[in-house]
Amino acid sequence: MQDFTPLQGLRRNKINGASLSASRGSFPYDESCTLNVKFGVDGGIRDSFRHEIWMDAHRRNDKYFRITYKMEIKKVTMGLAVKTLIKPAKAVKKASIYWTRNPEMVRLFEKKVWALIIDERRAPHIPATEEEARKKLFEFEASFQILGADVGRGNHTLRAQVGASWGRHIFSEKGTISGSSNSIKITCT
Amino acid sequence: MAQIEEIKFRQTSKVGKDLREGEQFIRLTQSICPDCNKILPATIFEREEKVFMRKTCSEHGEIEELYFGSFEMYKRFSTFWLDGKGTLAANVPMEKCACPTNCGLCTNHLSHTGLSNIIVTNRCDLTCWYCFFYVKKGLEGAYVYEPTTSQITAMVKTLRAERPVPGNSLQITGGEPTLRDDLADIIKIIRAEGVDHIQLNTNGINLALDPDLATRLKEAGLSNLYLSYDGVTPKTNPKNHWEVPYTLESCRKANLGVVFVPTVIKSINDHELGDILRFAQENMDVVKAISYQPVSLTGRMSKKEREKYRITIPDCIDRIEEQTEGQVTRDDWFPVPSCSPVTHFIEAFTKKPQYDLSIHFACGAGTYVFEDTETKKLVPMMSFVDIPALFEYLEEKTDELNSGASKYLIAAKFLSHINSFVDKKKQPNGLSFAKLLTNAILKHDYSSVGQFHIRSLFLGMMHFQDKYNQDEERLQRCDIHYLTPDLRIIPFCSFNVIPEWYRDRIQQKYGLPIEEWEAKTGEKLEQALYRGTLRRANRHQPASCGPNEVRIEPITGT
Ligand code: SF4
Ligand code: SF4
Repeated sequence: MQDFTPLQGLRRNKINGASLSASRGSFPYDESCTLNVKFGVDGGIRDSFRHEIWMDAHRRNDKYFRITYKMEIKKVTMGLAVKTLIKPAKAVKKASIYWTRNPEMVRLFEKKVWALIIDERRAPHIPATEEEARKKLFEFEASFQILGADVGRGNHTLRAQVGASWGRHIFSEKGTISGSSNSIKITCT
Repeated sequence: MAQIEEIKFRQTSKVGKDLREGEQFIRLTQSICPDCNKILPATIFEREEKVFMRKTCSEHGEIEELYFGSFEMYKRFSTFWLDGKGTLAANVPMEKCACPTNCGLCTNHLSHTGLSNIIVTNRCDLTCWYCFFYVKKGLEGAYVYEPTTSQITAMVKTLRAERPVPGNSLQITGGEPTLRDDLADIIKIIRAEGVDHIQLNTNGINLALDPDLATRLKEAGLSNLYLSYDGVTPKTNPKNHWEVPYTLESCRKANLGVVFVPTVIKSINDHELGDILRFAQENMDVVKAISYQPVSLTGRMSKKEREKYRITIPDCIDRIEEQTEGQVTRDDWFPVPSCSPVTHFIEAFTKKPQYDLSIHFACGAGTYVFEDTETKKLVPMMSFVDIPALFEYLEEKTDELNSGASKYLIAAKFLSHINSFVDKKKQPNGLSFAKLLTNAILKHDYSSVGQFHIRSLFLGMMHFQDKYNQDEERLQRCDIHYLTPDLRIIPFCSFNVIPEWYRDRIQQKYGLPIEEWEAKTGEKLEQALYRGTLRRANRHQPASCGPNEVRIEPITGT
């Protein structure tokens, strides 16, 4: 991989739209409830993930991009997220920037580069558009099941702490960002 | 920030739209017409859990072909899709490249040479019914092709000039290379040019007949044999069934490793893949690997005939699982480019370009199996090493190294983590996978990898292409290359799939008409034919190869 060439005027990277939701607001102690965490990465790193940059990255042998997502769900007491309910979890998404022989691309571009996205379940996707590629790579969603015993009886406020990190590339410095979701209230009866 | 310009593809494609009921689109690529070699758009799609290719030539109509026998395995393998670094010392500049019509390598090629091939003769001592590679009398335009030692030197220099990674592995192939009296000299020349790994592609008959030949070749610098071996019975392996035990004995004496190379044809020998593995296991002291090669179909063949003989990598993998009673399962196999996390980690660690096996994920697969000393069962590496987790870990550390982390810190982390990927209880006795990997990755000491081979067999698979299933995306990533006297480096699946552009043309240009060759050498072409001595001595069948039913691309050349 060649040296990093800073791209000018990139937006600051940040966690976008972090949200936590529960499958139900109230659930009996001996049943379970599903918590859903959703967030995205926005800013320069996302903007850079586009065809023009893929072409340059491919030419300069920088063909593989990994982004690690981290999340943790905590109980909130007195406005502070203090007790871990769901231990920090990690998931990785990847993009392989490859030279396609897709005849559509052959017609469109001199150098025919596209991106294959590998999601956190190791499932491959060939996106139809650049925007689809960005969505698949920079948006993340995970679900966790909790039992009544995990939270205990009563009312609880929960919040997710989320983050993302990636390494250095010809189009970006390494980055680590973090954020918090909204708080939700659940009741275990 | 400039506004992001949206680029779309696929939806507008007519090619992608020719899908029929029950079919699921996977990707578009380019291929050729089996009749006229015209470059055609091709659709790769799924139907009934298998992967197919469909293309239409305006003149010769539609061709549909099985591409990969399992969609599930295709998806798993495709997650290892990672383009290589290619070669900086390309022989054909980009503006002259019209892939695949001007291979050489050109600037567009995405893999450096992993294994190079030099054909040293197109003469053979057998006359196999399916092979039309060897030179025979009575055919118009038949040439004997035998590059001189100075041509060979120049070819090897071309290989060594590849950058950033000079080629370092070479297969001497034919015809039957042992027909050349100067074979040992050729091996010495190749060694002298700095090639570390030299293998000989052979039917093994001359090594069986002359027990000292293996020793002489080993002393000259040969690393191992690439021995054609199609089955365990005379019916499935008429070529060298009776001779192989003698060949193995010669190699044993010479301490020369052997790779078995079965060409797998559905309905002909696909029921013996497990038996081939068992025979290799019995001879593990000398047989180090098996390279199964699903057949490459050539000549004009009806769809029905193709369906009868066509077998793909997942089909062979499934047969092996069935025929070994689950000792080697489908999950034990990884596509060849799955080596990339290891290569890239070493590259990031050493800051030096490394040998990269960056072929297309649909081209080849491999696994390692070890013999349990007590039960004698085969233990695949996957059963005691968490390979996916190890790869993830290496990718993460590669990113850290590329982002400026200290290599000493990463080495320390690696050492403290490596054991967590190995289940020591299941690890075969006497093997320390963690130690071996540490030596190879951090100390670049590969001597223990040799030791690894002693108790193990590498099982490989490569599905050479043909005109029916040819995929330019695979071709552009090919790392098995031919070296030719015009100092080109030509991808295997161009050289053999379109012989009229490459193989035949080159051999005609640099060969001699048979009569001229006979006059020059004072030999007769048929003098070299094997008369079946070892078969007669054992009251076996006379030496001949079976009836003509299917024409198979002579991928091993023997
Ligand atoms: S197959 Fe490779 S060498 Fe041949 S024309 Fe295509 S890119 Fe060039
Ligand atoms: S020889 Fe053919 S099958 Fe093997 S890597 Fe090259 S293109 Fe793929």
